[in-house]
Order: sequence, then C-alpha cells, then structure tokens
Amino acid sequence: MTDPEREHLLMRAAFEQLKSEDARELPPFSDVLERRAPPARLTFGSPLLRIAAAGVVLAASVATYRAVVAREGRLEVPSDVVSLGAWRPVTDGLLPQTTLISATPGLGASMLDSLTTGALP
Amino acid sequence: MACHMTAGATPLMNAHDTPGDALVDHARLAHELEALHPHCFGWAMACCERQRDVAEDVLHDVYVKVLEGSARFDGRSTLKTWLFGVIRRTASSHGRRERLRAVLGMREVSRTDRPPAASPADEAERGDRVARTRHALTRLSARQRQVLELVFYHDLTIEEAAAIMNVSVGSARVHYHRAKARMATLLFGDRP
Repeated sequence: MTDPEREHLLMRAAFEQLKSEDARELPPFSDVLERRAPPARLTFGSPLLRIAAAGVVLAASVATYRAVVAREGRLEVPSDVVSLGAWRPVTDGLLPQTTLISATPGLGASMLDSLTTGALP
Repeated sequence: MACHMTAGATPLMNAHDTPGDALVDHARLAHELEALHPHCFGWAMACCERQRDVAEDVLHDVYVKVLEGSARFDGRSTLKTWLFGVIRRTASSHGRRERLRAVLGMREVSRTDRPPAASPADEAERGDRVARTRHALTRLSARQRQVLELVFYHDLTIEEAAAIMNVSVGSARVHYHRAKARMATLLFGDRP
C-alpha cells in the first residue's frame, strides 16, 4: 500500500469516527422540527453599541447646553425698534421743513428767500 | 445545481387534487426528511463550525422551509444533494445574521437544557482522536472543510460536492486536493 493510499484510509477512518460521534449526539427529528429559537435580546455587550450610545448621550448634552447658553446671552430688543416700518433716522429732528428738499432751488436764488416769502423761487 | 426555491411540479410536492393528497405528500416528504435526518445533521454541523445549537437552528429552518413549500425540490438531483445545498445556504445566511447581531449587541439566550456528554475513561483516546480531527478541520478554509466533509464524511463524489457548494468541478477538485494535503499534515504530520 502506497503512502497516499494509506493516508486516504487514515483520513477516512478519522471522518468515520467523527461521523459516529455525531450519530451518538443526533437529536431526534421531531425535536429539531419543533424547535423554537430563543428570542434575541438587546444587551450592551457590544463595544460598538456602547460607543454609539455614549456618542448619542454626549451629542444630546452638547446640544442642550448650547441651546441654554444661547438663550441666556440673547439681547432683548423692543418690538417697535425691531420693526423696520416704524424706524426713523435720528437726524429727522434737524429737518423740520421737509419741503426744503422737495424742490430744486432756482439758479441765483437763496434758500432763505423761500423761508421769507413762503414760495420757492 | 438543481436547487430552486420556486413553485413547480416536483416529484415530492405535486399539484394536489384534494386536500387529502396534500396531506399524503406532506407526510411522505416528512418521512423522507426524517430518513435523511442523520446525514443532514452531520452536514449542518459541518456548515456551522460544529456548533450543535446553531446546527439544530439551521436544520429547523430548513425543515420548515421544505415542509411549508418555500423551498421546493425539482427532481434534477437527488433529494439528499438538493437538501445539502439548502442547508449550506441557510447556514450561510444564519451566520451572516448572527454576525450582525453580535455587532449590534443582540445575543441569543444560551440553551442550558443539554448537559455535556459524559466521557467514560475507555473512550478517552477515541474522544481525543475526534477532537484532533475537529481541531484540524477548523484550520482549513470553509470551502476546503466543506469539500472534505462531503467526500469523506458523506461519501459523495467531487462532482456532487461541487453542486452542493455551488462551485465548478475544477474549483472543487483544487479545494479537495489542497484540503486533503493540509489535513494530512495536521493529523498525521509528515508521515501518515
């Protein structure tokens, strides 16, 4: 018998032993058919899950802190100041005669003439 | 590979004229599965890295698939060959699902209803040899392990093994020769 043949036989014998060992532990067909898989449970055994959970908690904490700080530091402005429609320039008080700039003065005329005569040149 | 998950006429699951015919075919199919159960269990163990609980879960899924008709035998190969292909694919998807569960931290409740088998003193040596074989198998790649189990454990040809593994015959032959050489080194050293 050559070495490869002997090797083949020895290997077959090894697998036969494995086969008979499996046969001894063979579960009944009906047991396998009626077998119910146990429910999977969510645990924190996974390092990846732990890191993800820590990240979510950290992100939520940072977002809450930033929201609180931003609310406290915000400048409270009255609503009438904020309204653009109600806004008037401060220098409006210096120009009581708004008509002064409503018409262009004529050549050689003085703006003061219009104040004395009441009419633009 | 003669393995389909589609509807169609099959030698074991034909269209039934009456509900009684369906019951007869179902019973016949269950009987055929039971007859092949020892072979299926051995192959499921091989596909599940010899983890008994996992192998039983996989077998349960396979039997339910077959009996409920979601996996149908089309008669293009032997029932055993077809069933082995279904077991291989089911074990593969089960393994992927378990790896995902492990990443997500979802673990199954361990089964504690089965005490370890007693090992009498006179079987110590035999147990040791079996353990060596099991350990050597873990050192092989999945393809190598499968082709060796199919040929040496289940007495199938390399062609049948290729069909079950869904690889070409040439590829199966390469896996077989490499696996055999590696296994011989692991089991017997340089000298058989």
